[in-house]
Amino acid sequence: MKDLSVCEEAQWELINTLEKEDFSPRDIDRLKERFPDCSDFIQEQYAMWSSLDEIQVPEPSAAMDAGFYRTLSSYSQVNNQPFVLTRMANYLDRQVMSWSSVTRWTGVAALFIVGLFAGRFLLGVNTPASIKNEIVHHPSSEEASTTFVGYNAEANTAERLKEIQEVRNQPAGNHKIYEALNHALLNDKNVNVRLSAIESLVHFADDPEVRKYLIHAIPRQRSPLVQVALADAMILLHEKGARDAWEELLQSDDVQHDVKDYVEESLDKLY
Amino acid sequence: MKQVQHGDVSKLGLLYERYKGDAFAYFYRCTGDQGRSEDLVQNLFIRMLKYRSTFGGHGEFSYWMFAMARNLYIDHVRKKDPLRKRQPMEYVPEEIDEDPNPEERMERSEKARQLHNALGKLSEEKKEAIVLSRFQGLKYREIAKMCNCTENAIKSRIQRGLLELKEILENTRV
Repeated sequence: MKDLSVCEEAQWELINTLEKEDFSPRDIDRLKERFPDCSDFIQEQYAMWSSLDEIQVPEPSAAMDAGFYRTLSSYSQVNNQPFVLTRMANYLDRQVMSWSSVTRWTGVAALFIVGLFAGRFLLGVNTPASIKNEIVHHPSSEEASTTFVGYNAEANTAERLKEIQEVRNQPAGNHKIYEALNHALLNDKNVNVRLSAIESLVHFADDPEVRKYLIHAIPRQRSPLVQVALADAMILLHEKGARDAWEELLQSDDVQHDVKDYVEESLDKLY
Repeated sequence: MKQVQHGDVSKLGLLYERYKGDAFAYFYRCTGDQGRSEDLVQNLFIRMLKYRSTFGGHGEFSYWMFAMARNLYIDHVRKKDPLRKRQPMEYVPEEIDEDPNPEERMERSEKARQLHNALGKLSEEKKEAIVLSRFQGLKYREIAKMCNCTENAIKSRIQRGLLELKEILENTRV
C-alpha cells in the first residue's frame, strides 16, 4: 500500500466520489487513471467500502413492535386523560362559578352525593369482599394460576410474555401470582416481559401489596422504557406513595435525561 | 410528522412502520446487539414523540430522526450501564438458501462476521461516520452538522476508519 501522504489527494477524491448520488464503479476506474501511482490504494479502499455490504442486519423481533405499540398506547392514555379531565373540570368550574351562592352550594352538595353513590358503585365492584367471592365461586382459579406461579425464567421470551399476559384472566387476590409478577418485574432479562409484568400488576393494583411491588421496583429498573412505564402506571393509579422511590431513582446515574424530564413532569401531575 | 405534532399521536405508528427498519439497522451496526438495538428503537420513538415540536417541518425527516438516534446512542454509550460490560451477541449471518455452494457460503459468512467485529472495534466517531454515510445514506455535510464538526473532519474519519478496518481484518486473518 502507498504511503498515505503520497496518496492524500487521491484519498480525498475517492471519499468525495463515493458520496456522489450518481456514483458508479466507472468513477473508480477514472480515479485510478487520474492517480496511477495510487491505483492499488484506491482499489483497496474502494473494496473495503464495498465489502461493508456483506454485513447483514437481522430482522427486528415482533417483541420490538409489541413494546412500541404498548408504550405508544400508554403514552396516549396518560397524555389524553388529564386533558379530558382538565376540560371537564374547567367546564364545571365555569358553570358553578356562574351560579348564585345558594344554587352553587346546592349544586356542589348534589355533585358530592352523586359522586358518593358513583364511587360506592364503582369501588364496590372491586372490594376485597367481592374479590373473595369471585375466588370462592371459581374453585379452578387457584389450580389454573399454579401454571403461572411456576413462572419459568428459563422459558423463551414468547412463552414468558404469554404467561404474564394470560394471568390477567385470573381473578384477583392470588398472592402467589403477585409474587411471581414481582419476580418477573425485578429479574426478567427481557424488557418486554418486564413491561408486560407492569401491565399485569396494574391490572391487580386494587391490592395494596401489588402497589407496594410497583413502587419497590421504581429505583431498581435501568431500562428507560420500564422507567417510563412505571411513571405511567403511577399516574394511572394516582399513586402518591412513591415519592421516595422516584427521588431515589432520579438521584441515581441510571436515568437518561429525557426519561428524567418525563418522570419529573409526571410527578408534577401527581403531586 | 405534522399530524403527530398537531396532537394525533396515533400517527406515530405510521412513521414507526416506515422507519423502524432504518433505525434498527443503524443501532444494530453501532451496537452489534439485537436486543439492545430493539430497546434503542423503542426509546427513539418515545423521544421523537416527546420532542416532536423540535421537528422544523422543513428538511428531511430521516435527517431529524438520525440526529436524534445518534444522540440516543451517545447517551447509551456514556451511560453507566452494567449490562454494557457484557459482550454483544455473536454475529450470526443470515442463511442464504439459494446458494448451492456450502463452502462459499461459509466463507462469506465468516467474512461478514469478521467485518462486523472489525466495525465494532473502530472508535465511536469513525464508526458513526461510516455507518451514517455508507448505510444510512446521509451526506457528509449532514453528518458534520449532527456531530458539530467540519465536513472535512467527517471525510477524514471515514478515510481513517477504512484504513483501520483493513488493518484489523489483516491482523484477524494472520
